[in-house]
Amino acid sequence: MNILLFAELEKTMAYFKPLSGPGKKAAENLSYLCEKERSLTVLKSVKTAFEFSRKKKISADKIKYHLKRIPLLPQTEIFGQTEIFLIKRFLNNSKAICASLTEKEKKVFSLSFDLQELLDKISADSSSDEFFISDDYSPALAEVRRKIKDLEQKEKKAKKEFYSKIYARYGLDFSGKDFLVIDSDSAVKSGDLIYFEPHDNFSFLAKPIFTQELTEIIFEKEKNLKKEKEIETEILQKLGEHIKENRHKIERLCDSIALTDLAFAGADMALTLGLKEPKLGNKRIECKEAFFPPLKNRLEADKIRYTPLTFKFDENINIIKGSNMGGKTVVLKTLALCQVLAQMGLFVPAREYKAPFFSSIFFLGDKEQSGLSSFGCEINDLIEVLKEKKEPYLIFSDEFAKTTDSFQACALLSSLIRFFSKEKAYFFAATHLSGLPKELPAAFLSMRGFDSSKYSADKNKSYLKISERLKEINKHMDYTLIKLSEEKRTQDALAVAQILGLDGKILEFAKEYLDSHNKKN
Amino acid sequence: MNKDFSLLKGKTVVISGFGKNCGKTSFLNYLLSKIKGERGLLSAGTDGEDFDSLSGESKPKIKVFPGDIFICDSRFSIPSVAPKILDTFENGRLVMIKAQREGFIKTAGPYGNHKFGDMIKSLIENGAQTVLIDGALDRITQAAETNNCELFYVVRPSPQSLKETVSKLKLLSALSEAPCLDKNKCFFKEERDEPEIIGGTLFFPKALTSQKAEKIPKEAKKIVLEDLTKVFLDLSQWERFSLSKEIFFAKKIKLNAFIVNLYNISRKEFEKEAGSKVLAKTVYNPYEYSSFRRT
Repeated sequence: MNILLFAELEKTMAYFKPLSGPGKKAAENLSYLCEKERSLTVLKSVKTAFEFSRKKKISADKIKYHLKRIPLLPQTEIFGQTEIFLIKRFLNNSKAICASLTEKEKKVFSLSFDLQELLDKISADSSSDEFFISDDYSPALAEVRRKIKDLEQKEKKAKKEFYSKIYARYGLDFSGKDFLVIDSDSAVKSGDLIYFEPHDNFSFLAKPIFTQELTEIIFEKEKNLKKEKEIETEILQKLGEHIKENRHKIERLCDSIALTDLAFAGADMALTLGLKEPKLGNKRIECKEAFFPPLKNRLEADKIRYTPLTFKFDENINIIKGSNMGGKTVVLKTLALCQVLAQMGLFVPAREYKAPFFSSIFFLGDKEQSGLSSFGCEINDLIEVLKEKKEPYLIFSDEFAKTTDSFQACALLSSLIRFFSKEKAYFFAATHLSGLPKELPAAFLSMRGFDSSKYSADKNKSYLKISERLKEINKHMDYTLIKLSEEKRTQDALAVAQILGLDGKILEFAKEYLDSHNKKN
Repeated sequence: MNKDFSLLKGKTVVISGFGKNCGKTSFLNYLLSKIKGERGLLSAGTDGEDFDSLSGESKPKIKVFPGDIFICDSRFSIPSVAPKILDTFENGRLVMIKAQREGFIKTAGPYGNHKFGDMIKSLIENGAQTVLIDGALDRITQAAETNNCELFYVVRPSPQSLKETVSKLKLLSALSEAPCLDKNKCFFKEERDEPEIIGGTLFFPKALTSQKAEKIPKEAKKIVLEDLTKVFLDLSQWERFSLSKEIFFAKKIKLNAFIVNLYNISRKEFEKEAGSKVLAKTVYNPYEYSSFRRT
């Protein structure tokens, strides 16, 4: 499984909302960055946007207003009226954004506006975001439009006189209508000013026959409209040439606008979710009050407490054990999400998060592959990861080899631990496997787990809904991550199954089995 | 029935119709000659009509005047109305244009229903006093958001289609009479697939088809649907369904009138089939010259 899927990045990124066309496009394929410098550049821009949004709220709103108005630039060599409108709107709003930022802030976003000359050329009509091919572009255009206007007046006048004539002669009122449906029994059936054609079994369509004078005016107008179109096309071509001359500057500005937009979207996401700036470049992974937003939000909505993760991982290889539903996977997901977001240059869901920078990050999962069993898929995924990895790398695994027998699974996991310990690798594995050798070069950690002393098995809880059962588990589960001096066997599965409502008979058999097994050992 | 169409100024008007070439665009042009002030125009979907049923000629274009604002498809030539581009949608596919000279245009609209409301809002923000939508009935839910929406339904009954057309008009007439229930309206704003009972009332999301109607428990006596465009039942199915139930709509779409363009049938024949409720909403083809025609 892809690390981004494992970290459920999409759910957190639902709060990341770029506003401009270039920003939205840049956000389409966002992933964690493999180059530290790039990641830190983005992080610096997000930090700047974060401070700006916090301290200059009105200016930040103004910037967002302009970002929202910035369209995606047309990918074309031919610039028509729509394309020039888009360029004008892009330039106008980019300029306004630049004007809202200090020199220092602009530097962070790589923003500068050096396209005023082009903007002036395409703004002959007005400085607003709208675009009209103004008469000011060409005296010939102004002249042809004046002629069209005159002809329109003449046409109106001639039509008015013509329709009055029809009305006087036939009593037919064509005002606002190009045709009339006339009853076939009507007295009006023919005439030199109108012609009739059959409509249905009961009626004719009556249409006016324009006079020679009126037809000539209409033709003349059409001729001038064609001429106007030709002049407009010439003007658009010229403006298109100016745009092409400035293509590189426009593209550079577009990239900077995308960066600015992503930075403000990152800042907004951080403010909404309570994210904090991460510190990359640390030797170890350390986090204080880290949380996994998709779960935290869901629990809070159901009024269930959420336990954040606070831990300093002293070793590169960490084995996490613990009860079923005890939070092992959430620990992995929280760390994966924090690391991915940090390397995207974004703030992370933790009061404090310090970590190294990794060249690659993986989740070892059972990526579906047709023709392979779950175990086959897992091994195939491992082979691919080993091929792709670049040091230093970070790998997460959740119940690796869970579908094969536990003895061989132990052997595989142990060998993975040994292998990764010899590389510049950080490995986090959640597992239920008991029997991992104590001398493995790894830290053994555990979720504190289920407090059975506090849980009273009440037989009358069979009426509980699943959501209430989950609350019950949550009440007695301690989701704190702790260090273990040696590998510990957890036996909370039966208690959890009981709360979830598993048949009592089955549970009794299982307890008998455990008791006899424990006595033997 | 005589109507003063100038009273539509300030409203959002949807012109929908039954069947191809029923005369929607001709009626839209007629309305444009009656409603004063700046008008905003767009269409809901393209229906591919090439010929108009009333004039018999290639489908009429829409005549606009200075100040009118319309949405058109930028892939076609921008009309010669001294166009000022105000905005674009869908990455520049759709353009919002203000006409600065009179001329003829062809409107376009968004692909998705959800963008419809934004586009209407934008037309109004840019100065349109009245918005006219040339469109499909199943696309007008968003238009109904304006709370000011008036529906005109254009039909062209012929001897062959008379019964089917009248049945459709009777259904719309019945639907338009169902009361509006404002309570829990927000239910429909969320993406839901399943009905939910809130305070003894069944809220039914999405389209009501005959299959879905059969699955509604008999004990549900009070049912709320989003609006009349969500009913995909025929007249007899609707009559059966609503017989023992109180049906409400969360959103009111005001049915202003049926525009009836008779083709090869007389008014007498149409009126005999239509019944009083449909006739009360009927306006005959406004291009008809004599009012005593075909009686």
